[in-house]
Amino acid sequence: MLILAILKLFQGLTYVMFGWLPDGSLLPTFGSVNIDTIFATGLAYFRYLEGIFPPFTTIAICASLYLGFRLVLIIIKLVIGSRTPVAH
Amino acid sequence: MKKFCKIALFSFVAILGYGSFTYAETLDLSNPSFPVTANGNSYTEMTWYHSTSTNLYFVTLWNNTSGYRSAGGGDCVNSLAGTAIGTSLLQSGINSDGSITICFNFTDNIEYTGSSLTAVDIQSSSGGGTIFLSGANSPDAYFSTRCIVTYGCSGPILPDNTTHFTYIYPSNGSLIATTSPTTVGDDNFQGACVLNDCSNGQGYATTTMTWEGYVAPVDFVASSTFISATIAVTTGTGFVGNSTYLIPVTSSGVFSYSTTSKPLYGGGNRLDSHIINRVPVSGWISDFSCWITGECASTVNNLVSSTTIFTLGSISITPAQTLFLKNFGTQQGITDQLKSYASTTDQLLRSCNPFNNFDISQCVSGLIIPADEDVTSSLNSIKGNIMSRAPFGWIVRISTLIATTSTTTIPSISYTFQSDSPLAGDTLSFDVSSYMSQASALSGEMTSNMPDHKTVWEILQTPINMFLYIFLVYVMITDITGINFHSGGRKEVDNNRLN
Repeated sequence: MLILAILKLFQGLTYVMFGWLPDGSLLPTFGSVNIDTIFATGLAYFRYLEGIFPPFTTIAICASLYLGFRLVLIIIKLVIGSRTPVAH
Repeated sequence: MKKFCKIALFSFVAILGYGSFTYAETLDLSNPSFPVTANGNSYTEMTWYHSTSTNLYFVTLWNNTSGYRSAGGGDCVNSLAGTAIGTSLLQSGINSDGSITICFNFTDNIEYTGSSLTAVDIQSSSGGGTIFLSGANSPDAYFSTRCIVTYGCSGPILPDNTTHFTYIYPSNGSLIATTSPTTVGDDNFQGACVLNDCSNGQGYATTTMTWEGYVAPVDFVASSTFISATIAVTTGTGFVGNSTYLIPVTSSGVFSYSTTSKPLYGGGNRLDSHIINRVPVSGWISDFSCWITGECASTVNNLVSSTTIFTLGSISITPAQTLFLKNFGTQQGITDQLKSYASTTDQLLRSCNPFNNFDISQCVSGLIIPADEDVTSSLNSIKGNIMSRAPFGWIVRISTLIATTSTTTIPSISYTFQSDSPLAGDTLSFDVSSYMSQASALSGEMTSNMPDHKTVWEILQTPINMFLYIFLVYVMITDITGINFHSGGRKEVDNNRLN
């Protein structure tokens, strides 16, 4: 019961700390723009395209690789600044 | 000695902390209270021990019950003294000796199976009493009752703050009639809203419809007159034609209630699914917007499906009730749950009662080592407190959506020429699936005349992939070196590059 009491205390503390924050079970809506619906629908369309259009998967992989590549470049530039041995 | 006194005092206070939720009930694991019918009457009783106004809940199991009970007859002769809640409850009254008799109304020619939970708001000022359950003229009835009350006859209350459905009626797959309306224009609608897998709030709403529309998260709401809860539909779903579709829904957050409506731990809570039939507004702009965002400018026809009746497993329900409701389809299930309950913290703490079943080893064990279920419940609550709130909840939501495997068919785009056009009445349409799908007529049915008869995509897949990867490498090299093959030489290099 002592351990349980500590857990319950911690449970209450987390409620006090985070309970006042807005509900985050859904992505927010700004005005009439429902981000949650748009995101969910967009992903569903994306997966649908992946299923019916074979090159789409390859395109998505290439896009991911390129984004990762650009991220590495950004990190390198942040770390060594103007000495970056790349053109961009 | 001083130290011993401190420990003793602490232990006493600790016990009192939970001891304020006194209990006076012994679980008989071998016999979960199924009184056998005698002479057309089934009968059981419970006793409570607190004098203040409180709510009393009890579970009743029906097993091939048939028959009827006439109103006002037999044991049901007393005037109503409490507020009876429950569809099958006929009347109740306080007897002269302080006991309460509750009678169930059996309708003729109806066979009762399954179970129900009934709640009674005890307004008695007496120092306790006994409840009698009676089901006369029900020759095959089996009652199993369980007293669940804030004070008195149940065990110590360990609030289960997790939000979940503990009991859902009707069973999964059942189709319930639509409450309003059943038709919109020429479209017929049958709605059913059934949740299953009650243990963690996961569930599915089943909808059968013969019209075109879709369901968005906002469309699935709780009845405002009873209860509100955050119900998330995982994805917007398209319906075309006569089809049945499972809409994954989950409950989250904490159930809340209106100020005028108390939470009913019986069968009175309900959840309405609002299925919205959106008739798209014609016009290419709205069609394009609909195609891009999934939010169609539309005329909304709000269809309220029938409700799912469910029992709550949150707020201040005792573990006993939760355990009962999780699985009380069979007598064996009840027995198993009782055995499970026997290992919970509050059950172990009963061994600390010096006047009843005192067991020092179990008492100490209960004081120090919490039961797995209690620990799990607390950790889940902590997790819920943090991960259901912004911004952490958004991260969880995004992760959930990304992990979801459901798809939505991309709607076709169509445009009908207006009356002032030479092509008035003609319709142009573009269906992405027809042209892009590997199973479509364009690419799926055109096959090679070679022996392997490969389809268009099977032939083109390899060169297309090669082209894409080569293009990727080209772009990366361009980014790193500054060499632009288009201009036939090296791009001008950033001035800072060699510094």
